[in-house]
Amino acid sequence: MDINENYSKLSIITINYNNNIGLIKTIESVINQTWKDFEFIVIDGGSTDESLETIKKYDKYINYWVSEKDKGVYDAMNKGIQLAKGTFVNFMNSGDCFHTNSILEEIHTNFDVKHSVLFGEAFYLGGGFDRIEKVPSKLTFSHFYTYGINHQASFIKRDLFFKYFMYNLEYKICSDWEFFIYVLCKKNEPYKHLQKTICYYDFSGISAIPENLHIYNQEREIILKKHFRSFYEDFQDYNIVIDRRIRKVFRIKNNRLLWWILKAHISIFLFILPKPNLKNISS
Amino acid sequence: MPQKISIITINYNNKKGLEKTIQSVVCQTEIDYEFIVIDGGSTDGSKELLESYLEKLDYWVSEPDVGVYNAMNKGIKAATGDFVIFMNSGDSFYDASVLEKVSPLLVDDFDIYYGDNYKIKPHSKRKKTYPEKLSFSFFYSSCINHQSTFIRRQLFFDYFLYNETFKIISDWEFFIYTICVENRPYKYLKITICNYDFTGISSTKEHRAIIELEKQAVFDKYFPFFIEEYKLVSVFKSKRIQQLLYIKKFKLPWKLFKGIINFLAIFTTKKVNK
Repeated sequence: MDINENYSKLSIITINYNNNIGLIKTIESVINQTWKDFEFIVIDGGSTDESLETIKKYDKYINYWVSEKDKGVYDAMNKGIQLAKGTFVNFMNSGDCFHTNSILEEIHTNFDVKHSVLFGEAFYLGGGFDRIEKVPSKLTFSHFYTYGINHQASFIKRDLFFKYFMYNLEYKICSDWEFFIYVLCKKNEPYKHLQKTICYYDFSGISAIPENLHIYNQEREIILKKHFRSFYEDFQDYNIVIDRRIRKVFRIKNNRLLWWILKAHISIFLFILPKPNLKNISS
Repeated sequence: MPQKISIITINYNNKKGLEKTIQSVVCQTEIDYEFIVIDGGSTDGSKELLESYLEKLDYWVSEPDVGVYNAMNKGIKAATGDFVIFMNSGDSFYDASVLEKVSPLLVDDFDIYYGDNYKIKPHSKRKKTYPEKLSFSFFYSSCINHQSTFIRRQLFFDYFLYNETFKIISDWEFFIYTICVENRPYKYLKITICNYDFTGISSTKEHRAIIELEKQAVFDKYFPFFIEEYKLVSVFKSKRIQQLLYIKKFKLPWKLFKGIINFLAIFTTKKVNK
C-alpha cells in the first residue's frame, strides 16, 4: 500500500511512547485494512527504544509522523488532531489494534455528516479479564456515570474538537471520557452505535497500576462536578436506585397488592424502629 | 458597583391587579430602580390607569401581543438594568423594603438570585421557601418562582429570550437551561420577595396537561440522556422509598426486611417496568 492522498474521511492517529512491540502490532493492523481511504498519523513522545526504527521502517505507510517530547498522552493526541485532515478521527494507540482487517470496510459508509460520534465495542485484553465491553445503543448519562465508551472503538468528527475543546491536559486518564460525556450528554451531538466490535484494547497497561483507579475516580469526580453540577448529587442517589434490592422494590411497586403488603411492612418496621427524621435520610 | 434593577410588569385586562402591583412597586423604599409596564392592549381601563402613573413609569406600552412571554421579551428588550424581575399584574412585592434589602446583595459573582414568596389563593396564604442548592431533580418536579427571582439581563442575550411558542413553562425552560446546562451561578436570598397571585395563568388545573407537554419538549431537546434516569430518581425521592432506606440503616431489621422483599419479588415479573 502506498500513501493514499484521498484521505478525506478518516484520520487514524496512533500515539506511542517506548512501546515498540505494541507499535508494530498497531501499525500492522492499520496498514492491513482492506478499506484504505484514510490517512495515518503517528505521534511518538520521543521514545528511546526501537520505536523510531519501526516508524522509519513503515515510513511509506505513514502520512505524517513526529517523534519529540510531549506532555503526556492527551498532548500527543491533540497534536494528532491538529495535524489530521480527515472528517473523522480514530485513536488507535500503540498496543491496540483493529478487531479484523475488514472492520473499516464494514463501517466506512457511516463516515458521513449525519453523526458526530460513531462508536462500537472493544475487546478488552489483559487486566485479568478478556471480554467484549458491551455498550447500549441508546446512551444515557448513567451509562457514562458508571462506564463510558471506548476511545479506540470510536470515530469522532474532528470539527468537534475545535467547536468545543481539545483533550484537557490536566487529566491523566479521563480526558476522552470528559470529551464524550460533554459533547453527548450536554451538547447532544448526534451519535450512532455501529453494532460491531471495532478493536482490541490493551487493558493491561492501565489496570496494572493500582494507583490509576484512584486517579480515575478522582478525575471523574472533578469532571462531573465541573460540567454536571446540578446532576452530581442526584446521581449519587441514583447509585442506590440501581442497587439490586431497590430494583426488586420497583418491581413490587408495579403490582398493587404486593406493593400494599410491602407498604404495610414498612409501616410496621417504622413503628418499631426509632422515629426517623425523614428530611435527613437521603443524605 | 451597584447593580440596577428593572421591574417588568406585564398586564392584560387586569386593572385591579395592575393597580395592586404598581402600588407595591412605587412604595419601595429603595428608589434606584427602573419600572417597565408592558400591556397587551387592555380594554378594561388599564391603559388609563397607566396614564395616571406616567411619572412613575420609565417605559410603558399598550399594544396587542402574542402572549405573556412575548410581552416579557418586549420588557427585557426595553429594560436597561443589570437585573430584571417580573412582577406580573396581580402579584406584588412582599413589603416596601424588598428592593432595599435585595439591592446590596446583588454582586457580579452571581447571575440568578431567587427568594421566597407567599402563594395567595382566594381564601388562603401559604409561604413557599426554596432550597439553597438547585439540582436537576428539583427542577424535574418544581421550579423557582419567577416573581421572586432577579435575573441578570445579559443572560437573555447570551442564551435566549423566553420561548414564545410555549404558553406556560418558558421561564422554567430558561432556569433549567441556564442553571443545569450552562451552570450559571445562582444564589438563594433568604428573603420573602413577593405575594404571588396563585389564581393566575400557570396555576389553573386546565393547564396541567399543557405544562406536562411543554416540559416534555424541553426534556427531549436538552436532556435526552437524563429522562429515563429521572423517572427513577423521582420515584426514589418518594416518601416510601425514603422510609425503606431508613430501615436499611438498621442491620437486623434490614435483614428481616430483605427477606420480605425477596419473598414478594417472587411474585413479580423480571422485567422492570420503565
